[in-house]
Amino acid sequence: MDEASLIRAAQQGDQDAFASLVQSYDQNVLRIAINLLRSPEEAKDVYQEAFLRVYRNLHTFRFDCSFPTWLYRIVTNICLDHLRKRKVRKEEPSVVESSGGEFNVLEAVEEQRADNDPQRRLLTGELRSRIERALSGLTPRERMVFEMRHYQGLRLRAIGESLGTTEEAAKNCLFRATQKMRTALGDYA
Amino acid sequence: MSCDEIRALLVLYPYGELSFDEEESVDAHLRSCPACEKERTVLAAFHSAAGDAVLTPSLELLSACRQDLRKQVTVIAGAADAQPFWRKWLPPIPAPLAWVARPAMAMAIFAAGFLGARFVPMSAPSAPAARNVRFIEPSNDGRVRIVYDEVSQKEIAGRVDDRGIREMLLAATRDPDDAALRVDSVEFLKNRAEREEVRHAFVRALEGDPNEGVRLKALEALKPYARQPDVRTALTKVLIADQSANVRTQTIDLLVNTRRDESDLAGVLQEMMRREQNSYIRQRGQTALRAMNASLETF
Repeated sequence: MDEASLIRAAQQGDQDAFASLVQSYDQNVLRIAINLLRSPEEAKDVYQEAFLRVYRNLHTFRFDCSFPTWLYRIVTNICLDHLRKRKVRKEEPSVVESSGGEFNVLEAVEEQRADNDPQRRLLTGELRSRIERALSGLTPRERMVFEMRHYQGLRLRAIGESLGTTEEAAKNCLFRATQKMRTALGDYA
Repeated sequence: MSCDEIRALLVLYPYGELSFDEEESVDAHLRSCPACEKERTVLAAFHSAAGDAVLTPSLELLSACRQDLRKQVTVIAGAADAQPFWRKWLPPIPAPLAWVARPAMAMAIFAAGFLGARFVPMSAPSAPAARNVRFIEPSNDGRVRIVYDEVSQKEIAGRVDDRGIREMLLAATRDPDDAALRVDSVEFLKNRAEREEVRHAFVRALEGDPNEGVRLKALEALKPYARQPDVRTALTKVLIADQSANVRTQTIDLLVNTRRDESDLAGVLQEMMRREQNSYIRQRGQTALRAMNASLETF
């Protein structure tokens, strides 16, 4: 069944069709959330909230844009809310360093590389630590654009659509974010 | 363009977000300006460094998210089903109009049912869950003949020891599209690895699954059987050939801790030492070989 048929079936209450839609996109949704929030617990909350919002509002989807654009708009709004709440609380609860210098987030993520080499792991841990700090210095919107472009590989036009803004505004945001990150990483970059 | 203008463009240069003309200008400028070329190198290093921090959610987290979502959707759907199903899709009728509207709605439903029964062909096939059209051809009477495969979803419930359930779980360990499903199926079967077909499924996953998480799960399930010849053979292959340092590390631990015939294992470890680049795994291999009084490399 193609995606449009799945959406129509899900709109009519077909839960299997809804489950198929979820499985088509949920790895990306979780990846966006965990990279943006750097917290498995918060990423899990975003996942639940986003797909429940999709479930409740799918009948309002009118194919005016693509389904992933609609979905990512929901996901990015929820992530932005989480980031803004963090800023209000002035805390970065998920960016936790254990005594060993590694992040608790590592327990819920797969290693990307051959990181069993202790020396490399130490370097990667320190670099991650700096990147976490650099990311926390960005505004929620800058962080969102940087993450979506750098880690998700989305084009600026698609990012603009997801955030309800223009490609130009997304480009300016990415520019500011990259400059700040680069400065914060110092001699690592 | 001035250096300041070029540096503004350089930020977006690695993302491929510049126009053709902008990129041409940057390339031309970089050829003649060492300072901006250095800035480009620094930015490239930043991109590489930032790329190292990308996180991929584990399959266990994905699986937990899916299970929680399934539960919550079931609760919401259950609450919605407490009302007549069509109420979900209709806006509420304002109270003053409700008594007027009800007889009209009843008449409308009756009319729709009557007309529907007359005009909808009763032989129309019910909508399947998925269709794959194989070919289409005209028939002599002007109609179209379509041949298609049909896939429909069904549900089965039972214990893992039930043959039907076990076979479904074994089939799920080979699902080509969904790594989380493969991890879940290995998890459900892991206490049944005394069965040959289950063990074979785990060995196949360990040797050939493209996802590291699934291979690690299969390795964990095979631990109690590490002395079985078929499992041992698979472990030695994995130690030499697996792309993941995580998998190789756990494999070397398992092989060393469960060794019986030291000469065979020494040969495998020596071969591993010849190929292995990861210093941590090499160190484990050296320790094991020294404990066996074996030389560190083949000659």
